Amino acid sequence: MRLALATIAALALCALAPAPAAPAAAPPDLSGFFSRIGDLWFDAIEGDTDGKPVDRLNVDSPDAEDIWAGDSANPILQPWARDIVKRNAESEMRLQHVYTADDSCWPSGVPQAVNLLDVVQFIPTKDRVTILYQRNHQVRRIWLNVPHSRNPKPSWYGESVGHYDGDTLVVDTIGLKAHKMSVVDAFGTPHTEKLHVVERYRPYATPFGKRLEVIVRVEDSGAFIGPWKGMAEYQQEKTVKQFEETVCAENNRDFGEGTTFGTIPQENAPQF
Amino acid sequence: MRIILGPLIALGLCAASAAANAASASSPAAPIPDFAGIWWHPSLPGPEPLASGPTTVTNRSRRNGTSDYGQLVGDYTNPILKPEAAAIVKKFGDMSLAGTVYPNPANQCWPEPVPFIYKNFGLQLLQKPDEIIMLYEQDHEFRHVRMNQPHPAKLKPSWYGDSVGHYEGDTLVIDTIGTKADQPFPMLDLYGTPYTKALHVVERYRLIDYEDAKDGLERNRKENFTAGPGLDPNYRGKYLQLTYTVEDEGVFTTPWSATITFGRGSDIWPETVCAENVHVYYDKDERVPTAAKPDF
Repeated sequence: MRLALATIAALALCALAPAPAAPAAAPPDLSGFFSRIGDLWFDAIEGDTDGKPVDRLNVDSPDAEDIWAGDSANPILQPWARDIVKRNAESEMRLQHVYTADDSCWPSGVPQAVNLLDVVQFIPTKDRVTILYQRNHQVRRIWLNVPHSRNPKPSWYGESVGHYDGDTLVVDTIGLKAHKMSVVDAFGTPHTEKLHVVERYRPYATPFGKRLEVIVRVEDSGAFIGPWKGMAEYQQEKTVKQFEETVCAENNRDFGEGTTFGTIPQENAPQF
Repeated sequence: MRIILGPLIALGLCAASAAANAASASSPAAPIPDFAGIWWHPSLPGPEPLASGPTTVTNRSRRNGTSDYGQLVGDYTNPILKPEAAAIVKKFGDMSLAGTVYPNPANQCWPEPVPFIYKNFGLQLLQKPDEIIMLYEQDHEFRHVRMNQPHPAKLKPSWYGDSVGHYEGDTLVIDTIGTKADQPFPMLDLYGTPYTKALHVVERYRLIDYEDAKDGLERNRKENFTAGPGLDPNYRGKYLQLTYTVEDEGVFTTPWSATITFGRGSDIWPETVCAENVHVYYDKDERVPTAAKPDF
């Protein structure tokens, strides 16, 4: 009996010994490589009370596939922004492509970076999540669990802070530079330096493998009459083991291949 | 004897369990150096020539005793250069002496191969078990380094080449081959030193104390133009020393080496977008030829 008691006492002491601290709630698993799937613009979210993203116009033309014209009738647009979307659409209808940041080797900004083709990698570390875009080797940094600075200097990717909300990475971005090439979607919808974007990245399992739901909420009282929300999706690329190089300066992205927009004006001789 | 075995075994199991927990909670058996955070070197063109032995091309043009970044005239008499390579370096130097800023990967917004990429003042290493991502300060450049893997047998040349790495004690060793040579600006430094598809670079990164960093910092001070805004000159903590060795039988007579000593300073990682041409040299932008109107 004494023996049994001693053994029980020893085990009890063991049980009372401090256990290794349980890890905090696990952050969402964003590991691996992802690619954008679906259309390269934001889908509206059914039933959501915010405004809807600018949608692509249905065009009745043999070249319809190559015409990326936004619907300027979207009531979310301020008049000056509507004019730009309309002008872009008319240019596209004339088969004169409206060159975007991605076409022209500029950073794509937020939230348009979500619409980039090619592979994307999320690298969580202790104080930040780094997002790498294969397309023209672009980088974003999301600083975790810190507030925004008081007056961030405007930049192409702005100032992004984030946190984990259960199974979701939430990214809040301000300080985005307003530039003619800095737009919020594939239709050249402009923004001002009041732009405020919240992205929510949530991984989920499907029969086709892991996917990443991305919901963006966009506010910019300079360009929109109210906030709007859109959705996009990434698919995990299980066969991709490392980035390839997609170098804009090299124009190795097959831009214009087989499209009516392939002819980029070129000078035959320098003027100087 | 038998009667005390029960509690002893129980306590032994308890201790073993605690030890196992402690082991799993701490670092793995071989300690991996922690290179986290932002590292800065302060200088242009950047590399620190070795005090002796085959080493990097340096600037023949001096200003206040150090490299004149406004006039890049590579020392084409450096014995590491084969005659054809020396002629190329001299050609670029002559252009520079004539007042022409010749194009290079940095000022033309192209990816910068290794070791040209060391021109960047800022460096971050994101260490994962299977790969390391190296982020550079300018134009969103980054490299991937696959850990503990061999180079593929068949390699498609790429801008940053194929980089594989491993740890040797306290040192991260990165081996890079397969750098694309058929590109508009095949240069591995700002003097236009060329390279071929045979380029092979081995980088060795390790943390060193300030006392050990002094040698590299002094070689840097004697050679380079100090311009970088990031490094705190009073920093006395751990430095990150890069020692790299370059081989290319198509260009060099011998393998050569140089160092770069990174320290700490600014926590701000600036966004430098080449397309935006925010680069300023000696308080003015380079006079890039500009067409007044399109001719199409």
